[in-house]
Formats: sequence, structure tokens, C-alpha cells
Amino acid sequence: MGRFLFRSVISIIVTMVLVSILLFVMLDPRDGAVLVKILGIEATPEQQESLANQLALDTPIMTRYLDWVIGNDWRAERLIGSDVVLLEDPRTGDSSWWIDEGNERYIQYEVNTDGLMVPLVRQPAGEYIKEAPVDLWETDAEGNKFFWGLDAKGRGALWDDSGATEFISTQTGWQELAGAPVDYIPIRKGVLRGDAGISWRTSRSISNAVYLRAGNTFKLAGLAFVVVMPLALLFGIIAGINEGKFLDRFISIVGLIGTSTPEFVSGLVFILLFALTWSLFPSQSADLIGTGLKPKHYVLPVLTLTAVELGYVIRMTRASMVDVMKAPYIRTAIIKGMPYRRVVLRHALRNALMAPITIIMLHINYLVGGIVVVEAIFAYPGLGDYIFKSAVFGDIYALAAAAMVTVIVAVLTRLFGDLAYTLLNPRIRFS
Amino acid sequence: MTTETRSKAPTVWSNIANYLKLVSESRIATIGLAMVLFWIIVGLTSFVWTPQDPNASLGIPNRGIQDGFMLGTDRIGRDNLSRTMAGTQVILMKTRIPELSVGAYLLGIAGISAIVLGLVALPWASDKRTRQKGFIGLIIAAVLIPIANIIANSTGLNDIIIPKFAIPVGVAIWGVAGSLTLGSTLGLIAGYRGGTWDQVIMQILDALIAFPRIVLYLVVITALGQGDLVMIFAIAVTGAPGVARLARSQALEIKSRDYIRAAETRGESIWYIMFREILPNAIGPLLVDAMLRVGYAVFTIGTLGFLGRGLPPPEPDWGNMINLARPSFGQAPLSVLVPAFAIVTLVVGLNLFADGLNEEITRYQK
Repeated sequence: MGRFLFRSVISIIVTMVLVSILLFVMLDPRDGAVLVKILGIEATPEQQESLANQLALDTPIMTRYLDWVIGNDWRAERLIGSDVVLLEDPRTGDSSWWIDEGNERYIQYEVNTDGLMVPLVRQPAGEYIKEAPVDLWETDAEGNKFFWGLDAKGRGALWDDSGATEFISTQTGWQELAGAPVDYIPIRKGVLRGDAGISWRTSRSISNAVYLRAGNTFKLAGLAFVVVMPLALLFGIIAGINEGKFLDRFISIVGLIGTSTPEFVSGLVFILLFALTWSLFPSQSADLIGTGLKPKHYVLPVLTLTAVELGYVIRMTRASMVDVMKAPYIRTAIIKGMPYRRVVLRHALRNALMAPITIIMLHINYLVGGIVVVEAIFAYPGLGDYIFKSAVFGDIYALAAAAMVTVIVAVLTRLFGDLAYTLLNPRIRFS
Repeated sequence: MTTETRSKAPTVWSNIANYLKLVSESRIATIGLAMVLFWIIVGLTSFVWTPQDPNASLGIPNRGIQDGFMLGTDRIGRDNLSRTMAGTQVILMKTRIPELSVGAYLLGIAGISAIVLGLVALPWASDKRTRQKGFIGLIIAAVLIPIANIIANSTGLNDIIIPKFAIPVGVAIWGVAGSLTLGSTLGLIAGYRGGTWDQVIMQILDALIAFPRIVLYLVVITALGQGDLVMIFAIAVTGAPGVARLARSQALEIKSRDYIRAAETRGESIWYIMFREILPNAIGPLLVDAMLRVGYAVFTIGTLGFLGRGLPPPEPDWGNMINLARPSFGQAPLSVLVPAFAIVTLVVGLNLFADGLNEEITRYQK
């Protein structure tokens, strides 16, 4: 058992490393498509270049991969020469990086038109006040002036005296800003430490969004699971013990049609019936992060998931039940005159449920996939919706982080499935 | 048994033909086949005749059943029936190759050759006698794409454009064929060779299988853009791990049989054993699985079309039709229900076909 667990954990770690490399290499923005997406099609090549620099897309893929996985705050700390900390802004709930100078003094920098650094000192309420400009230029071996610090957006930034311009996003569009840094490090702790950086689409923390939305998705998936499983096991067993009869054919065909009807079709039909015609339940649960979802928001998504999932689990349970009912010990039990009900409940059921348990565990993977579509239809603020929107935008770090979460869920449930199977099956447990 | 019949060893194709003969014995499989054939005939018909031009706005938008538009019109007045008929084409009948430069073709051909060469060389590399040959093949496969890239960039090949055209057989079928080729080769090596080969191959495939299917599709499409060829690639990559698992379990079961021992003693090559001895005997379950996979592919293409990430226009695509009809579902339900009916019946047909065939094959083996 211990060896089995050890091997599983090693295998999971290798899988996760492979998945993260695969995701990163595949999603790597080879052309400027994502820059156009963020800036709009009217952006000039200079603006695109500036943005690529600000997002650190001009660094080698290996560096970006390591930054993404294990973070780059330590790299920034070495360049800046002092500790950096992530502090939450109480006004917005977003976090930003600050240089920690000790004594509760946290600063970022700005370079003014005279070429001097203006320290921005953080106040407890989250805002900053500007202090008198100071000269902090350092000189490298070739006599060029440079300065590593954090800019007002909390990014690691390298200034020199060349007077570069940065194109920054404001309410009114893209503006040029003189006295800008020439190189950037978008600081993050890395996915291993639970920080995947800032989303390009929403300009907010990816990890926070994924955390919130994963919670919503698990609620939906959990509800669907609780509704689907008892029903599916019941119908699967009924179909299995009536193999070949009308009842079996009926349950199987209805289940097959349910499984073959895409979520978006059944979802739309349910919306038409329950929301538009009879006005029983809301059809959209959009943008309810924070305000909380009411029970009525769950009804139609769960119903849609049930319609598509039910048939699949029925099929598995039925096949397993049919196999068991053909086993010699069942025939013996029937021949020796045991009541049929007792044969089914005491002998067949226990053995028949073994196979579905592992398959149901594997099926959670499929359930998460189906949820992407259901969330898109019902505008449900879950992980699937986030994955879909990030994919459409080309927000690769957000997509990769959210996809990693779904993969972790899949691998862990597979492990639990294997464990459950091992524990339930004496032949494996004692070998 | 006479010597003549013994000398005729069953091949993959003769076994597939044998299994397909079983179809007529199963009522379920016959019904399924009829449903699939219905859509194949509809698709073929749509090339020469549809009631209206599927891409022209000829009627009043969002109307129900009316003269000349048997199943109503969509929101810009196109005929639902004609569009649903033509929607079969991109899934089952034809694959559209977009306008590409010669350089892009060179890269594509290099990529496909690299995969094929890799699949040929991998079994060789796993066999002691042919290890050198195998590794040389793998190295050549690895450098093919960079070489093609250099040639395409250094010459003027990127400027010569080949216009778009279509090749026969649809996206779903090419995709499943791809996952069968990839998956069964890898699965057979893993199962027959065992040991490190098994562990390495299955570990890599496990990483792919860990993705929820639709998420992997979205990742591939985000990375490579929308298009028929990308969809084929996505279907092949997503399906390969499942096929490999099945092929592996079959190979594990078959490899201890006497005729494999005999072939090994005769000194047959690993290729002969894998594809002439094991594969023909494992083809039944793989065939059934492939039918189900075509069904999944149709389902997923529909889902991606609904999400607006599926096959590109202008040819109608069922999922996309439903997506476009969604805002006016209340006024024109037929625009959603007709393509939905198409997806459901085609998927149900493929499922029934596979189920019936499976029942017959297992009965035949017992």
C-alpha cells in the first residue's frame, strides 16, 4: 500500500511537470496576436514593442517558464538589493509589490523629468505619498547610469538615463509616458507558491479569480454529482437485472439519447421552457461573484448537467451489473432457492458497484469538461467560464493556470479512484 | 484445416471485414448503421442538391415552416434544412485546406513525415537488433521540422501561395484516424515491450489524458487558431491516449499467446509481430472504440462550434448554427432544434452501431 501511494505520488508529480511544460510551450505567443488583442488593431509597432517589454514577452521562453512556475521575486530582490513584499490594497482588494525598507516603510519609485527618483511611500490605507526626489543612480563598469527599483505598478523596473518612453493604459486609451524604465520584471511568486501573476484580460490577480471561481465550480459539480449518482446507480441496476427486456432497452435508449444530446442543446431547451415560457428559474447567473448565488441559480445548470451525465453512469452500472448477474455464484444462489431480492441486494450489488466507483471517479474529469459549456450557457461565474473567456482572449497565463487546476483535480480523483478500488477489492488488497 | 487456409493469416483488413459482416446479425447495430448511412447520404446529396442555397439569405428571417423553407429560416433568412444538410460536409465529407504558402506546406509535410518516421522508428528503437536503425530514424524525425523551417525561410517559398481546396473525408474521420494511428502504435509498443518503454510512453500519455477533453481542445485551438486542420490535430491528440490504453491492454493479453512465441522464435521483426500478429487480433475492440470516438468528435465539434471556436465559416457547421440562433430561440426554435436533431441522431447512430457491434464481437469470442 505504501509503495503504491509512493509510486502514485511520483507519477502525479511527473504528470504535472509534463502538463505544465506542454501548456507553456503550446500556448507560447509566437506572434504578436495577443498584443493586438490587448492594444487593439490600431496600435503602432512601437506600442506593441513597449507592451511586449512590459509583459516580459521578449525574454526567452525558459526564463518565462521558470518565472511562471517558481516565481521571480527572488530574482528581482537580487537586482534591487532589498526585500520586496506583496501587500494588499484595502480599497480594491488587489495586491501589489513594494520594496520593504523595514519599520513598516514600503516604497515604489517614479522617475521625474529631472531624472531623479521620487520615492512613493505606502500609507496604511493603500494609497501612497510622494517624497522629495533623491539621486539613487548607480554606475556600471562601462560608466552607464542605471537603477533597479519597483515602478508605481509594482513591477520590477530598470531605469537608465536614455529617457525611454512607455505606453501605458489609462481610462482614455494608450498614452506615452516619458522617463519610463527600459526593462521590466512582472514580479510573481509562481504557481507553485499559489501566485500565477496578473491576468492580461482583467488586469487582476489570476490566483484570486481561479480560487473564487473554482469554489463556485466545485459547488455546481458537487450538486450535479449528488443528483446524478443515486439516480444513475438506481436506473443502472434496474436495467442490469432486466437485461434484454423492455425496461432495460427503454432505460438504455433514454440514457443514450441524454448522453448524445450536447449540453448546449438541452441547456437551451431548459431555458426556453423553465425560464422564458414558465418563468420558474433564472436563466443567467452572471457576475454574481461576491454577492452570492441563490439556490434558484443552480437549478437549470444542475438539470442540464444531469441530463448529459446520467446516461453515461447508467451505462457503466448496467454493464457491470449484467456481468455480475452472469457469474456462477449468482446462478448458484438462485438455484439453491434464495429469494431473488436477496440475491440482488446481498450478492450482486456489492460486486457490481466496484467497477462503477472507479469509472465514476474517472468521470469527474468529464464532468469538469461538461461544466465549461454549461457555465458558458448560463453565464455561471465558475472556472469553466474563466477558461473559456481566457481562451477566447488569448490570456495564456490565466488559461494555463486554470487548466492546471482542472488537471490537478483530474489526477487526484484518479488517485482516489485507484485507492477506493484497492480498498474495496480484497483480491488486490491482500496481494 | 488444410495448409492453404493456414497460410492465409488474418490481416487487419480481413478481420475488419469479418466484424462488419456481424452487423447484419445485430438489430441494434443495423439501426445504428442506418442512422449513420442516412447522414452520409444526406451529406453526399447536399453536394449536388439542397432545397435552397445554404449560404444565401433568401427568405424572411426567423420564420417557421413556410413555402420553400420546409424547416424555417434562421436569423438572416437562410434555409435551415439546406444548412443542416450541408453541415454534414465539414464533419464527414470534406476537409478544407486553407490558402497556404508553399513554405507552410513544406513545414506541414515535414511535420507529418516526422510523426510517421517517429512512429516507424520507435518500435525499431525498442528492439535490441534494430536499435541503431531506430535511433537514427528518431534523430532524423527530430531534425526534419527545423530543416524545413530553414529551407522555407531562406528561399522564396513563403511567397508562393497555393489557393484553398478541399480533400475528401471529413474532419471527424481524419481526426479519429489520426488518433488510431498514433494511439495504437504507441499502445502496442507499450504493451508488447513493457518495462521502461511502457512506463515512459504511458506517463506521457497520462499527462494528456489528465486534461478535461474540452479544455485540451480549447488550449490547442488557442495555440494554433481555428481551422479544419487544427481540429483534426486536436481530435487526434485528445483521442490518442485513450486508444493507446486500449491497444496496450489488448497487447498485454495477446502477447503471451502461442503464435506470438512462435513468431518470436522464427525471428520475425518487431513490426511484423506488432502489426501482423497482435493488431489483427486486437482490431475488434479498437474498431468499436473508433466508432464511439467519431461520435465524441461530432459532439465536440458541435460544442466548440457553439462556443464560437469550432470550424471556420463560410460552410455551415451545426454547433455554430445553434450558437447563431440562440438569441432568437424563443421566436424561431427550429433554427436550434434542426441542427440539434442532426447532432443527436448522428451521435446516437454511431453509439448504437458501436454497441451492437460490440455485443456481437463479444458473443463471437465466447
